[in-house]
Amino acid sequence: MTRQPGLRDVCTREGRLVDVEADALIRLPVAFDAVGRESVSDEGRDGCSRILDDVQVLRIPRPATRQEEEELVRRFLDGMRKLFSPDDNWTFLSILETSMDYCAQCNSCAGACHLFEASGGNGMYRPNLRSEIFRRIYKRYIAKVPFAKWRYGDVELNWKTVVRLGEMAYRCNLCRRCAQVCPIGVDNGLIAREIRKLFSQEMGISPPELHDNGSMRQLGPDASARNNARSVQDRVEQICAEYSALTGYEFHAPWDVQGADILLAHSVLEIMYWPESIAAFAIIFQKAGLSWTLSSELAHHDATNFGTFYDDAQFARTALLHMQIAKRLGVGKMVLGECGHMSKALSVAADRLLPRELDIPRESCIPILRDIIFSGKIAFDPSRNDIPVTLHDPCNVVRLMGVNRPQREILHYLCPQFREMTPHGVENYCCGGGSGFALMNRDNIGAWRNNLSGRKKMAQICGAFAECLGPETKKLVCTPCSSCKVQISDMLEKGGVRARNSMRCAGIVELIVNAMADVNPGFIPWLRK
Amino acid sequence: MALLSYVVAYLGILTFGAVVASKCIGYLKKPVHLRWELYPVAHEDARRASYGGSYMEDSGWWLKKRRPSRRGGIKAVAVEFSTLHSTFRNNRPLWYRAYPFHLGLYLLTITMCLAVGVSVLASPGGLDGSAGRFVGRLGQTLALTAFLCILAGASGLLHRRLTVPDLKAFSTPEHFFNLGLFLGLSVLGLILWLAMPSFFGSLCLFLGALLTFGFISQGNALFDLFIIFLFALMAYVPATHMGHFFMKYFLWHDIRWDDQPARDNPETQRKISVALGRPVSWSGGHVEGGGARSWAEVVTGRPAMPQKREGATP
Ligand code: SF4
Ligand code: SF4
Repeated sequence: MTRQPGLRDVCTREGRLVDVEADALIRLPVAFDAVGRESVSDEGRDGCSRILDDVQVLRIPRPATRQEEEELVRRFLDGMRKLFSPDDNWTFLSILETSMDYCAQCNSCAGACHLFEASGGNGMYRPNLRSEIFRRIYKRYIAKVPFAKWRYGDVELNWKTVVRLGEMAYRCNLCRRCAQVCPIGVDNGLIAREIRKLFSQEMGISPPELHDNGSMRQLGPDASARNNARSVQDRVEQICAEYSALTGYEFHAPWDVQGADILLAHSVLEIMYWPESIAAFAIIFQKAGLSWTLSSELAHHDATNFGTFYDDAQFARTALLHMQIAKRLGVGKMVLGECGHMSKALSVAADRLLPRELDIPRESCIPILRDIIFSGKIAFDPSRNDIPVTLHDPCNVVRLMGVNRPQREILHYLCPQFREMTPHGVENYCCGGGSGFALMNRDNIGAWRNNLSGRKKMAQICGAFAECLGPETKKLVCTPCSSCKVQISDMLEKGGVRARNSMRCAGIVELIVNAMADVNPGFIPWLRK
Repeated sequence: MALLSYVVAYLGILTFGAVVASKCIGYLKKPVHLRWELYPVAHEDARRASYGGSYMEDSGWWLKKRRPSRRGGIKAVAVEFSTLHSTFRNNRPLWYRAYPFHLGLYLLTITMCLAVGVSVLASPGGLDGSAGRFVGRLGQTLALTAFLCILAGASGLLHRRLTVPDLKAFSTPEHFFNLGLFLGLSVLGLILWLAMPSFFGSLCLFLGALLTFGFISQGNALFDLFIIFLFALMAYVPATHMGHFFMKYFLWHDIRWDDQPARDNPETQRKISVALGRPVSWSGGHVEGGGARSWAEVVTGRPAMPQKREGATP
């Protein structure tokens, strides 16, 4: 094992390629309980090979014979050919090809990646490592550039290269911070997603959390869809009743209102685990007098778009499904709740997939929340939020959608002790749960998320609260994204920071309702003085 | 040799034009891509561009008139080209080497353009009068600075690629070859600059003859060699990753900053419907492309429930 794998090592080394030692990780200013990197053997229980590091996201069976090895490589190459075909990959071909052809190998991207930094500069996390291996294979086997081997350097294409490339595509949060600093415009995040696509769309290999239990259940025949709409509706009714009692304000969440102005797309995961979020939306929208609705069909299939993370076909199917639901309800627009990837998927990425009749306007909930707050329709008492609050920017909302200022206007107004992280806005760092990782807890993936992929964020959070890290001051990390909330809350909880340093995580809507002057105080009970 | 230098110069210019045109046309002929913008987007209004905001910060953005700022886009590109701002910000040690290198290339291009201008406008005898002498001295100074910058930049980059492990590991034989070419060009240029009474004057005469098909020999084999080197390099560069100097237009304008909603653009809508008609041949069981069905057919249907997939939960 090594810390700085070279390009050739990825193709040739036997056994596990790298070791990310715990003592190489960046240090945190708080005690962060060693979130056990459970020891997992090189050979997984399932006959899959763990040949990259000690984590295994994909379960690729270890080829038993030479024939099986060759078959794996052949399928990979078939998929790679399709990635460069204008028919099979029209969605991203021009972006992928330019990223293949114009990288200057300047290495500016490495310094931008939170994984590379958090791992103490472990070479496997260099954004350009997987891209460059992929690029060399492309030049030689797909583009068939004359003298490719001598011009661009050689890589050996064998089953180990294939398996490691597949895994390396899942050592990336697709946050595209590396692309932002690239002087050329090369997108290593996109390349990682294209590799994920190749594995899923051609080889049928993808993480079960995203495919089998994600998009397939979402898109499958009705009987196996993700949620039972009736039980989601019951749960929301129960939440409304509980929070009506808590706030002293009677409110309801309307379902399936034909012709409503707004369809609120809200993730079911959030309804189940963060009931205060849907309650807060309902209170705000009702108080603002909006015409809005939830959709039982959307609850049934879920507003999440798992395909965003790994597969264009699943992505497009899910986006169309969501828009068909909006169309059937005849709503004026779709407002995308606090979920970063759902917001980006429907507002940006799906924009060039939808037929005109399904192109119902879609927008992030944040601007409309800002407008409500400053409309004067609701009275606020910001002193109810008078604790140190910082904002984690979901990459999908800021860097990939440019929705940046409205959330800051809200927090500056409603949270007297609001402070920014460094850096923030479009230069933010991923929480570590991006690209589907927030949903993964299998084996030691959860531990990897908390210990490594979220580590830089943890350091930033501590930096924002540097003068009040002790337990005597309650502190809140606000983020308008359910995946980010899952990831940050998990880190705070499992790392012991929640208890030891009095730190919690919440969405923006909870802070808005918590500061409403004419409901009972204590919407976020923990914040009650 | 003199005649050869003219032949190579013509071929170099033609090849340069052909490669640049074919790369641009090749890009433009690609199917429409999904939106994949990255903020800050420079053509947003100045206030929003400064912090990376977008029109999507307005509720009901589709009801408002969007006015992308062409000036903002041009300004951002101009700043990037003239200062390599992105590298300055994110990779300072490299910028100290890459900037002189690029500056040298810009100055060499300016010198050539000046020489073309002089050869077209000046009297056949050369640079007369005080204005002519000024332009001559300017051309000489520009050429010298260009060669010194390229020499410093290329040797700095070469040194860095050879000594910094992170860069060395990712440097390809082509990187070293390319830098070697630029080093060779700058050394040759400097020798000529020192050896000739007026390097710039000879360049003006050569380019004048090139434009008028005059084929005048400069009587200096080294100068002819320099011209061959220069124009061969001109033909070669756009075919390599250094073609980023023109492809950056697409990488930035058409990818990174492409935030145009389809609803505003009938041409994009037309391209989308063409793209959705393309056949799908992915073999993954859930895609069910098979090469016969179109994207529209594949994505409007639901995936069949799968046979067991590799990677699935046991
Ligand atoms: S991707 Fe961009 S930043 Fe990274 S090495 Fe290539 S050119 Fe440099
Ligand atoms: S997309 Fe993000 S996580 Fe992936 S390599 Fe780039 S900076 Fe790192």
